[in-house]
Amino acid sequence: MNKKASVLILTIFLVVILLILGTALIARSISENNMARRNVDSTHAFWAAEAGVNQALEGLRSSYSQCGTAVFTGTLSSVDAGYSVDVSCSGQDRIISSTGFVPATGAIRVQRITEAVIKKSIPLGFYDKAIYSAGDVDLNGSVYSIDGDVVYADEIDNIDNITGDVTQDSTIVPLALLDFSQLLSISQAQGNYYDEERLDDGDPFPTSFWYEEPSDPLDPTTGVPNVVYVTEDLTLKGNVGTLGGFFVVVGDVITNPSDIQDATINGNGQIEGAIYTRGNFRINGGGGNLNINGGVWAGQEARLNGNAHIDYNDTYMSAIEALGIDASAQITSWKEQLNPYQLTP
Amino acid sequence: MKAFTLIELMISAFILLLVIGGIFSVMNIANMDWYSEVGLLNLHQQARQAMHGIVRELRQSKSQNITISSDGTEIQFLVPNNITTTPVTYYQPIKYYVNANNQAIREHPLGTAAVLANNIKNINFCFWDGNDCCDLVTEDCSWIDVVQIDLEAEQNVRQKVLDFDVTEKVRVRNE
Repeated sequence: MNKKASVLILTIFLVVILLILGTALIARSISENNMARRNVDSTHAFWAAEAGVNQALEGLRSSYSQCGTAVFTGTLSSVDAGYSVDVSCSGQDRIISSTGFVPATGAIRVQRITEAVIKKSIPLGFYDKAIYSAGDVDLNGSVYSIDGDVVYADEIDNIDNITGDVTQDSTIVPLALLDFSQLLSISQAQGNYYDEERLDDGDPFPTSFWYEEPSDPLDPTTGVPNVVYVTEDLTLKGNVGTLGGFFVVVGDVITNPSDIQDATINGNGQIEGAIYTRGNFRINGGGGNLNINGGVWAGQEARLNGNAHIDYNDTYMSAIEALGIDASAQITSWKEQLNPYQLTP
Repeated sequence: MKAFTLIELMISAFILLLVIGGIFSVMNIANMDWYSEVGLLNLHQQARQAMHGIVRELRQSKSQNITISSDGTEIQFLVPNNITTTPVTYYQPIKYYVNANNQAIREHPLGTAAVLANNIKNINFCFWDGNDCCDLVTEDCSWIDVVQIDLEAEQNVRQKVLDFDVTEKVRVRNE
């Protein structure tokens, strides 16, 4: 018997085993690699679609009449992805469908589609309310008072001391965006632009609502209010005295659209005018009265604690409306068209 | 040709024993590592699959339409069906949680459960206020539009406990 032959058989056996193992490993690696690449492609396609939405928003802010197929297109060269945005015009609404795809050119491997509704309008009754809150209205204690109508999007409690209509309206979310560049230029021309440095220095705010008194005392639209543009949180404490104007508390919203600032006033005093904030509005009345004679817009929650009072002032509101500030286009709702699951109503 | 002596046979058998023992030891370690790595890979896939599914749906909601249980183990929310109508219409609520069998469960409509992923030990949801999780019991969290999801996957492979944690923050796109 030739024992040397057994070495060959053993070697062949081992080689076959190793080949099977190696093939299985390679197959698994290829499968994992494909899955990982598909996942990465899908993520790139999604963010490319989002880039399309953002470009469409900026484009529509410049010119709101752009409608059609592939109105906005672009590529993200660093990740080899592209997007194409269709805009459908429906009255004052713009319905955009943004398709993100990978690769940027050639046969598409993966695509994802996001849909958004863009609106550009000041809602009816925007200037007619004592409180206009796109969130909750939280009223605490028994000594607060509100003289005027209140509209809110989510919840309200303790409404006993409101003299006026109280209305729930979920369609006012998000709070209508004003044209902040327009407001900014007015405030700068009036010397009422308050950035972080000026706020830190404690520069006093205007003490009157009017920048120019109405030429016709019976017609508030002939006057010009102080437009006070605040780029940080507006926080006032203690005896704030008498302040006046149209306070726009919106932070760095022009360069950072998601920037949100709050307005908080603690203590005593009188605000002659109105406050617009995309964040929370909070007033905490101290020992004396804390009065706002005008109105309030809040993007999130409006909260009154203690000895705090808001009186709607039609004269001031008419003057603010007469500034003719345009609405800015904003996304009011968003969804992804392709969903991994079958959703049933 | 002489036959091998007993001593020679015993020595060669001993050497063979040492060699085979060494090979088996190495193979055993490699085998354990193989199963560990495959198990960990599987765990990663399960965790990411669960997280991906939750994030993709949750992103379409808005903070007012999200309810997180006080212990943070369940989340329920609405996603839009048709955004071009006024008001926007929504699908029935979607709910996510981990059941007693360590499965990530998605309920839609409520009461109809589907397994999203296995080997999920724990899942926690909270509203992220920029610094930490907002306390649902003592704080007002209604204004926050970022949800943090902590997911912990765990699997026992040959008496070895493997775990993998993943955390994601989701900014909901509808305000």
